[in-house]
Amino acid sequence: MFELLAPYFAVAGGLLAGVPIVLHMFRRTPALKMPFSVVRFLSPTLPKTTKRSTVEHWPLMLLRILAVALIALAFARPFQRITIAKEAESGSADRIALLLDSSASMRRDGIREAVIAEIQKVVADLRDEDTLSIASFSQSSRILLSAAEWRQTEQSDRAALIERACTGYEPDWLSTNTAVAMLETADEVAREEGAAGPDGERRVILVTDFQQGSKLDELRSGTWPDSVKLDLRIVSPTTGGNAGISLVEDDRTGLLRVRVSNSGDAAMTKYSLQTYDATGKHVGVPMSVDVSGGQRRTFTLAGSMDGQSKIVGVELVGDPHPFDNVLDLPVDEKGALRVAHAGSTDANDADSMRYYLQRVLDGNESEPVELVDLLGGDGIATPVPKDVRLAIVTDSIPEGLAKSLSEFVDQGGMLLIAIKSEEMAASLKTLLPENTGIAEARVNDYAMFGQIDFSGSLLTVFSDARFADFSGIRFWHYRTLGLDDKQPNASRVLARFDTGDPAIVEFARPAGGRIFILAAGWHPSDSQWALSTRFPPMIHRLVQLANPRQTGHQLLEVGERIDPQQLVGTDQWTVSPPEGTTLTAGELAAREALSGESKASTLADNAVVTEEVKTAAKTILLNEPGRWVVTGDSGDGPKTLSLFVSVAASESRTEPLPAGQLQAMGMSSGVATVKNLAANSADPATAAQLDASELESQQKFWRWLLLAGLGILALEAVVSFQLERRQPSDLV
Amino acid sequence: MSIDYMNPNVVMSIKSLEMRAKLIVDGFRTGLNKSPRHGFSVEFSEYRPYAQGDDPRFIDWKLYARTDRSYIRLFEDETNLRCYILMDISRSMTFGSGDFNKHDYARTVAASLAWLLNRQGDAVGLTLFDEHVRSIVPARYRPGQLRRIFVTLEEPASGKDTNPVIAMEDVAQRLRKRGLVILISDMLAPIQQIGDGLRLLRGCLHDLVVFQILDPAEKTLTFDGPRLFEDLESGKQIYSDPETIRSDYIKRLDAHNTAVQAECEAVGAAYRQLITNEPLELALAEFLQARRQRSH
Repeated sequence: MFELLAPYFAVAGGLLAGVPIVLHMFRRTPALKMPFSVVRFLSPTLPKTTKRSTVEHWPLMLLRILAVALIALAFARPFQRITIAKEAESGSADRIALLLDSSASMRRDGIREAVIAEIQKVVADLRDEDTLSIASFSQSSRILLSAAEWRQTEQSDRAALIERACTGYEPDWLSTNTAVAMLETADEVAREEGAAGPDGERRVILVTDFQQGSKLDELRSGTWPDSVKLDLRIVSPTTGGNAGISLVEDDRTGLLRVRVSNSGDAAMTKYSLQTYDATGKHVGVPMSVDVSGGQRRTFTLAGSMDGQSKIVGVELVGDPHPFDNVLDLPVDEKGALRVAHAGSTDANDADSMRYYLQRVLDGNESEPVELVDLLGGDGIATPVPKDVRLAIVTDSIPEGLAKSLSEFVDQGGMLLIAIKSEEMAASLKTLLPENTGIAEARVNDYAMFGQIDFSGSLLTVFSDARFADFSGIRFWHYRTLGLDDKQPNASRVLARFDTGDPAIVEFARPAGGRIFILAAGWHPSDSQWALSTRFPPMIHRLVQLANPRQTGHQLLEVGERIDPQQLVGTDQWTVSPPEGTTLTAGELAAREALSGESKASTLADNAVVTEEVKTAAKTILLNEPGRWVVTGDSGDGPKTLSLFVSVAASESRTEPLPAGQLQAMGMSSGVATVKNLAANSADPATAAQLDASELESQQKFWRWLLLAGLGILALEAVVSFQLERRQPSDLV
Repeated sequence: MSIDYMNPNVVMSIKSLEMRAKLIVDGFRTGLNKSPRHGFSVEFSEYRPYAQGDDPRFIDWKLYARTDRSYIRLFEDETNLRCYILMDISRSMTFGSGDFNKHDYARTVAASLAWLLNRQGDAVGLTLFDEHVRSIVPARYRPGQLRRIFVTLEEPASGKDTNPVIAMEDVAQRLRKRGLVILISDMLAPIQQIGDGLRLLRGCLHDLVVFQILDPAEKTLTFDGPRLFEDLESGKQIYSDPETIRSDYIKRLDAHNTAVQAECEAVGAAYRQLITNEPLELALAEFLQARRQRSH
């Protein structure tokens, strides 16, 4: 029995079909066309029509009625209700794969409950012989219930399996990769031998919020197996709309800027941004922001005022879905490095070593370095400040300062001494090891670096052959260093002149402090060293060695993978996820061993660890928003890296995609059916209408009716043309 | 077999326009018109003392040498009259209920007049117009002039609209000497335009003669049954039943014609309505009679 989806079109078509009958019963009196010269003196008269009881041109009229009726019927969209009996035959067993979206956008209120309800509904519709599997997906798929497990379990025990799967379903923080999950599941279902009976169907039931950020592009390139049907069921949160925030990095100005994005279906436009400190307390007054639906705006946050605690994060207040409303902000964790200098205080004296030192340190853009003079202009010395880790001596120093520097080295500090004269060497006796003799060398024309130990920590940056050429540096004067032969291990010669005399010598103190002695200065009267491209890297290396603690931050999104070893440069690393637990390289290796065959597993600290078999490189999936801290201790000292991880921006775009998006992505409408499980669809009348619409969209009788109507119209055109030719040409 | 030259159908059946004109004009005499003034032509007429305002080119310097006086040489004007025939070739002239249409009739009238005037030694010119001036043959009295006029009259009526004002304005600019202007048209243009055109010509001191050519069917609307009338010029269509509207139509047309005649009289123009079933000779005879009376 046929029914009509839009019966009012059929009624309108019935009325329109009567029009040709009426027209065929009326005939206008034909008039002769008469060319005339003075039409403007004529008055128009109404054409006379005659009404007749007989119809003229029967076939033409019938064709016209038929065409109108068929087209009207096509618009009425007829369909046929088909009753499918549920037969408990083994041949009709279905294979159903339930695919649940567990991305961050599914954390919105009411969605999890809707998903659980949908699972129950699917299970309720199952027959004993059907096979069910359940998997959740976000960035990658996770099996909650496998088909093999379902088959092996007795019918009576399957309820427990469903219960376990429902409990196991929990939305995570990752972004959605819908198309990949769909194609993988469909391929798996299609490949499964004997999964469904000969008359049964293979079906993937996709339960998702079908939000704008769902990645469906893969559907275009991938091939959906013909034997598998897709049943898309769209779940909605209790409240529509969503706003989210993300951090905008602005290195140039150093300002804290956040981007607030509002989804297209958002009812609200007014929110506020509230900053908070490390203890979670609010800092300052909230900042009102106004973002229209579907728009994104960037706001600059006010920094913490004097007396206020330091801002470590910001929260978007007013959004009903808080999953993407909190953001950790990078805080300034480092101050300017300080380097002490004892020598000339005139920064503009091009003959002094300080002149060149100042310029090298000022050129360090990545890390500001401040040069602190230990000797005043009046010759009064100040002790080495406590926060200084590197001191450089370029001239004679008073005894008090030499003592202070010695203590500084004993406490682990680093000291560079460039000896420019024998007098200066005499003032440094307390700093140098005993029996170290220093005298002015006799230089024939000039001296060069002859032998360089690139394995030494200071010159290791030049170890590459491209940078190892020091032959361009000429020394006019240098000093010979008489090292104590009795204690060969007390010093290490890093470089020698071509005469064989030591040029750079390193003395290590037992407490960890180090003294580097240069046998010549870098000022013009001694050498060309300061003008060489080798000089700035050496000084920077020295600063780096003295201040090994390195910090930094990166902005990342949930779902990205990090390689801690690459980030901190050592395999001795520790990763601290936002919730406070830690994971070390050793623990990771142990868990890998425990994980056995599985490539991926979820650990107690929520870090999903994967192993790439060939390279054995270990990566950590950032599966949670917040501040992740990676620390490592390499030979250069500890290094700390903060990773500010935010929810993927695509997850904040929660407005639902149109139902026809699957067709737009190349999926046949015969394969995919869409059901929107919005709250109002609970109305039986609406539900019935949706079913009818679904049936009609599958059967599509309207296409054939429209085609027939157009065919009849073409025939009508031919018949009326024939009739026209028989009429006198002057008839109107 | 004698030919009934009084019957327009017989005359119009003659294909050659020249022959038709000759037949119609045959019998009229020449020299009915006198030249209104002396001119500067080849035939010497007399001397006249130079007066201020005369063109110095015409001073006879030899005479001046002999007499020490300035004299102007005057010549006999080459023609008695300059006549300009203005003929309407708009598409409304192509209407005809019989074997020939108004255009055929009008150009026969024009050819006959040209022949007649040429025979009596007058300079004849021709201007064809519709909404613009289409062709011009300047007024001359010389061999081949009639031939040129006959060839020009063969031009078909193709204009879409009639605008006597533009045509007459153009003629007024070209006719520097006083002369006779003969306007041949169905005069179905708006009365305002007709009046303006006539006044323009009259303002240039030309004598005016207006022939209004109408078809008998236009006069009486003798059509059977309702028809879809299509305007020959604008293409406008009106469905109308002549039986119903005949009296109304005749009343409107008569009012228009009366207005045309009134405009002609107002500017001192001779007006003659010619119906295409009337003998051409009679019409010409009446015209010449009228001209003769005017000249006296």
